[in-house]
Amino acid sequence: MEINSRAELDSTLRRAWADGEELRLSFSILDFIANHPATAHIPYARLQQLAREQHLTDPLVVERVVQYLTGAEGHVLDLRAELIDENDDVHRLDEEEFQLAVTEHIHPLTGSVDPGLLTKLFVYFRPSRLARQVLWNSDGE
Amino acid sequence: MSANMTPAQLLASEPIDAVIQVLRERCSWPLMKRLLASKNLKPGGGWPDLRARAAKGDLDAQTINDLARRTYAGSILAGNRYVRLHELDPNVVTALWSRISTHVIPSSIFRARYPLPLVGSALDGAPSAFTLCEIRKTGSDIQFVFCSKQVIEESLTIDATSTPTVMSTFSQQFGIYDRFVAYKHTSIQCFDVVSLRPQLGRLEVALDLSKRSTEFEGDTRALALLFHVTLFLPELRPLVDAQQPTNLFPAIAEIYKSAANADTNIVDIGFRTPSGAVNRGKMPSTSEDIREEPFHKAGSERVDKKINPHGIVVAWAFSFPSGGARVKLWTSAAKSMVPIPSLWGLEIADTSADSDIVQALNKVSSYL
Amino acid sequence: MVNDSPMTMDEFAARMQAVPGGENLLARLAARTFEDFVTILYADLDDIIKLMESNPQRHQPDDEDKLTYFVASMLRQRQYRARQGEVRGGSVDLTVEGHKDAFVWTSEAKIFYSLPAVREGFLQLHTRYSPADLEHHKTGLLIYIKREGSADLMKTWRDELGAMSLKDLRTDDCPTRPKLAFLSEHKSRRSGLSAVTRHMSVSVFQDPEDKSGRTAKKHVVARAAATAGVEDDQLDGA
Repeated sequence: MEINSRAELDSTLRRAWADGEELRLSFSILDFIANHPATAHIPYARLQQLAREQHLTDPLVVERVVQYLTGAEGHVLDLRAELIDENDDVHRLDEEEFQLAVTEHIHPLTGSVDPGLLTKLFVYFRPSRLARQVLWNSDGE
Repeated sequence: MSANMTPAQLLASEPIDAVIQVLRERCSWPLMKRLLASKNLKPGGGWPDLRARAAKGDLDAQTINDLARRTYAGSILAGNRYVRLHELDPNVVTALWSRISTHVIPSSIFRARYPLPLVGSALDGAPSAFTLCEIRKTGSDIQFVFCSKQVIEESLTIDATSTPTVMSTFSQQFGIYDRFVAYKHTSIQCFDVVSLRPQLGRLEVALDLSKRSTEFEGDTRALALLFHVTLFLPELRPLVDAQQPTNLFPAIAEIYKSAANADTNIVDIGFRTPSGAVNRGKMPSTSEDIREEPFHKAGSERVDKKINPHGIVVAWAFSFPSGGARVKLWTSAAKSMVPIPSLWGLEIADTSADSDIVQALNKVSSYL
Repeated sequence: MVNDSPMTMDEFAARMQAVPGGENLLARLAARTFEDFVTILYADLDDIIKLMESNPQRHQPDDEDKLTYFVASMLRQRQYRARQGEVRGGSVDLTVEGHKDAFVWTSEAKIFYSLPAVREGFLQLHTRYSPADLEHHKTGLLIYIKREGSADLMKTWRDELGAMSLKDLRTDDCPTRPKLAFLSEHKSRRSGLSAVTRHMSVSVFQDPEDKSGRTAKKHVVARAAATAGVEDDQLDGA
C-alpha cells in the first residue's frame, strides 16, 4: 500500500506492532519529526530519550523500532553516518560512501581501507523522504 | 630528470601505479571522486580499486591514466596552499622577461625526479632550502616552482608502567623513568610556487600544504621564499622590503554580506555579535550555506545582521574553466578587534589546477 | 535500559545484534546491487526458516497462506516490504522488496502434499509471471513440509525437476543449507535468459515419539494431511 498521509502511516505501524511498546515509540518518533520541521539530524540518543519519556520497559524496543523504521515498509528514518574530526569538521557520508564504508571499510576522506573505520563513524537518523512528505507536507527534497 | 627528459615526459613515462601512489599524497579522495565523476567514471572502492582499474587495458583505464597524470601535474601548482598576495607592477615583469627566458635552472637532487617527488633516503638527505625546479610560462604569467624537504615530527608519550618489557631494557642503561617520549621524523617534499601575473597586477606566494610540516609557519615561510626569489630576481626586492602583502581581512565581511548564489557556499564562520559573544557556525557539507541554516539565519536577523565576522570558509564552484576551491580567511576574534584588523594570508584547498587558484584569488580580490 | 553515549557505527552494529535480523541490518542498507540484496535476503530467509523449524508445533496446523503470512511478517520486521498475493501476471504468493526500487524478489509457496503440487508452484513461478529481465532473474520456491524426512523429500523434488525437460537445467546444493535447499538454473522460455530459483524446505513437522504423541488426535490428523497424495514409490527412503 502506498502511504500518502499520516493516517496511512499510522495504520501501517499499527499493523506492524499491534498495541505494543514499539507502536508507542514509533508514534513518539513521528510526533517528534512532525513537531520539528527541518530536522535533518537525529542522534540515536534522541530516540533513547523518547523511549524514556514514554516509560517503556522493553530493553530492546529502540533497536526493534529502528530496524523497522529504517526498513522498506514503514520507512520513516534514513540511517546515516558522519565523521567528526578533532576540529569538529563534519563529513556526512553520502549513500555510496556509506555502502563502501560498511561493505569494504573504505574511508570516505582518504579513499583507503581502514579496518577501524566503523569505530570512527557516528550514526544518526534523518527523516526519510516519505516522512518529510507526510509529516511536513514538503515535496520530500 | 632522467637524461634530457622534460618534466612532462618524465611524468608520462612513470608507471601509472606509481603515479597514483604519489597522487594520493597531493589530492584528497573527495576531490578525486569529483574529478572521476566529471569524466563519467564511478569512484569505485577507493584508491586501491582505482589502481586496479587503471591497470586494466580498457577504455576506462586509459581515461583514468590520463586523469591521474593530469591531476598530479596540476597539483604541483594547485592542491592545498597557503597564499599571500602582493601588488605587482606589470612593467617589472616586462623588464625581467627576457632574463627569465634564458635563466638556466641549476641541476639538483630534486630536479632529477621533478615533477615526481623523492622518496626514502633520497628525500631524507635532500636539502630543506628552496630549490628552483621549474620556470613555467603560461601567456603572460610566469611561475617558479621550488622544492624543499620539510619534516613532520610526531611524538608518542609512553607511560613506563604500560610497557614493562621496554622499560626494563631502557632502565638498565638510563635509569628508572616514569614516562618517556618517542619521536618520529617523517620527511615530506614541498612544491612551493611563486606566480607573477602581470595582467592581474598580482604576485602570489603559494606554499604547499599537502602535508603540513611541524615547523610550518605560513607568513615566515612565505617571506623567506619571496626573499629567495629576489636573489635571482632583484627587481622584486621592493616587495620584500615592503614586508606587508595585501591585507585580506576586509574580504571576510564582504563575502559574508554578498548575495547568496548557487556557486558560493559559506561553510564555516567565526564572528562576534553586537553583545560581544564569540560564535562559530560550521556546516557539515560544502554544498550548504550557513547563511541559510535556520539557527544562524534566525540569530543573524534578530540582530539585523550586524555581526562582525573574523573568519570565514567559503566553497566556490567555477564554470569556465570548471573547477572549484575552498578558501579559508581566518584570524582570531582578538586580532580582529584592533582598529585596522589584518590578515596576510589565506588557505586554499580542494583545487586541481592552476585555474582554480587563479579564479579563487580573483574572487577574494574582488571583495577587497 | 538506555545508554546515552554517542553511538559509533561499530557500537550500533553490536547493539542491533540483540534483535532478530539485526545482525544483517547494515548489510541490508548497504546493498548496492540486486545480487547483494538477494544474498542478504537468503540469509534472512534461512534465519526465519530456522525459527519456524524450531517451533513446528506452532506452524504445523497452518495452511499455505498462514505459513507464508508468518514468513512475510518476519521479513517485514527485517526491513523488507513483504506482500502476499500480489498480481504480477498472475497471483504471486510472496513478493519481497528492499530499500531500492530495483530490489524485488518473488516466490511461490507450496505445502509438499505431492510432487505435482510442488511442480505446479515451480511452473507458476516461471511461466506465468517470471520477470523478463536479467536483473530480476532470481526467484524462490518455499516448500513447507509437514512430514518427516525433509532432506529425502527435497531430493525427490530435485530429481523430479531434472525430469521436467527444462532447457540447460543445472542444480547445485545451497551452500548454507545443503540437502535442505538447492539452487536451480535453467533457460527461461519467456525471456531466453537464465532463471535461477532457490528451492527452500521449511520443515514444520512435529511427531513426538512417545505413545501419547503417536496416538494424540492432532498428530494423527497431521500425519494424514502431510502424506495425502504422496505415493510411497515416489519417495526415496521416506
